[in-house]
Amino acid sequence: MQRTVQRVSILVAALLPVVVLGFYVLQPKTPPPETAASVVAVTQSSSTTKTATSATTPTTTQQTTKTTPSSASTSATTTPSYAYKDGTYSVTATYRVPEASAQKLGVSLTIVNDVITGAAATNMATDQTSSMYQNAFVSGYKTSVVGKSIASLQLGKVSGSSLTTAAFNDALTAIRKEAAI
Amino acid sequence: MEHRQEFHAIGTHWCIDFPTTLDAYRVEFVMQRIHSRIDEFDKTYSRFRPDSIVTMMSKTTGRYELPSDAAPMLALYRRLYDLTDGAVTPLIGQTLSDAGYDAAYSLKTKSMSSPKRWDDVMRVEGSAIDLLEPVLLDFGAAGKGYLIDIVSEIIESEGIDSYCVDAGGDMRYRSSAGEVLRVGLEDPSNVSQAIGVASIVNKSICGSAGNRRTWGAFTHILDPKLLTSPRHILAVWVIADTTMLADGLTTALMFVDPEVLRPEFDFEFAIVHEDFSLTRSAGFPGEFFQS
Repeated sequence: MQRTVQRVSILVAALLPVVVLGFYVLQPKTPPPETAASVVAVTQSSSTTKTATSATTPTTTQQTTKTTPSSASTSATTTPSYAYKDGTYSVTATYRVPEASAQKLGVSLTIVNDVITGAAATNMATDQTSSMYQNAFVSGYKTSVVGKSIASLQLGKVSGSSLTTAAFNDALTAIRKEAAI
Repeated sequence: MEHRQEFHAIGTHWCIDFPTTLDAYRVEFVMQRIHSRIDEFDKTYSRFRPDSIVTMMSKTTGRYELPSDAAPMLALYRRLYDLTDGAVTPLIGQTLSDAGYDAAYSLKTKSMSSPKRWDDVMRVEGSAIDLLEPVLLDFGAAGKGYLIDIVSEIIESEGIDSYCVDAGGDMRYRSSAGEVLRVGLEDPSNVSQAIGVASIVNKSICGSAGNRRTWGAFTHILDPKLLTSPRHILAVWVIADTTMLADGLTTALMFVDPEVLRPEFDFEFAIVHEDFSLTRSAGFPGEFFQS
């Protein structure tokens, strides 16, 4: 039981940096102001990592992390205002578990217009127990949503962010004009 | 549903559907009642109009007797305040205003500070508030949902049992025949897309996302302690029996895990996180499009 808890903790501790690394691997094209937003995202992930790591026993969590940015489908057409190049980015994380050799896990992110449109994790474990936990993680990780055109769906209504008032939108336009000068 | 009434009120677009069988003059009569009730609500709770009670409360202390229907809303606010450790609070008004979401829509951020603690500022008894110091209240978290319920009850009091009251994508739907309403769940990254479809019958659904009402680093939702807008969640939807509850819970879910709220209220939810991963209650009626 103790060991199970330990393994889960190690897996969690190993996976969160992978997500953080996913962000670092991406090459920012233009620094401000979009980078600022991205930094927030990284910081948030980091703080989560800290919490997760502190829950584990530090002596057993030796994680060596190798990154391989494969940047597969970098379909050129990006506007310069985006911080990240469109494409699919992959990283592989290696982590150690008690009584087994180092285990690996792959994570890939697809970025379109600075939005993560797809994320997938690949089970690369060789140890049976690790494989079990990675499978659980992978199946959970895959439940990410994608958009379909509203026009293609037979809908009675749409719910989301509330439509705003004209006053709010006018104010926003005015602010943007000011900022541009 | 043929009799569709559309109008603007309390800063959003309303769309009310009545049964086709209803006479036009009855629709007109109900609509008159609805408009005057919405105006009354606005005059009480809007922090955007100079003549509202809420604006008066931001200037003068004392005992304020709000309309009797304030009691359920104030009670829900208090419950959510306690469950979220003060994250959902009507005292956020001044902080939102300082962030730039003020009566003049200046969208210019001034020096901001965390709201005061509820018990230090006011005592609530039913629909009455004893205000110990002037404070700018904001009922944006559950107020719109509550108004949708109030409007719906006017419709029901006229003996109309099938209708849809939609205010900016938050809605209450009733169908005496049990017909399902398919509600598209707007993609937070692309308003022409949906990431899923909720199927509701005789329920309310509310959504919250930061993608439209955004200025600088802020959205219309503020974390009262961090003084930032939550970014770890892109969108939340809640389905419940009342729109007030659904509305209030969408905001609460921006701050606390569903596990905290599930034992307290009867509701279904779906949350889209910043990496587009999805968390949903097993009973959420509908489908999601997954990669």
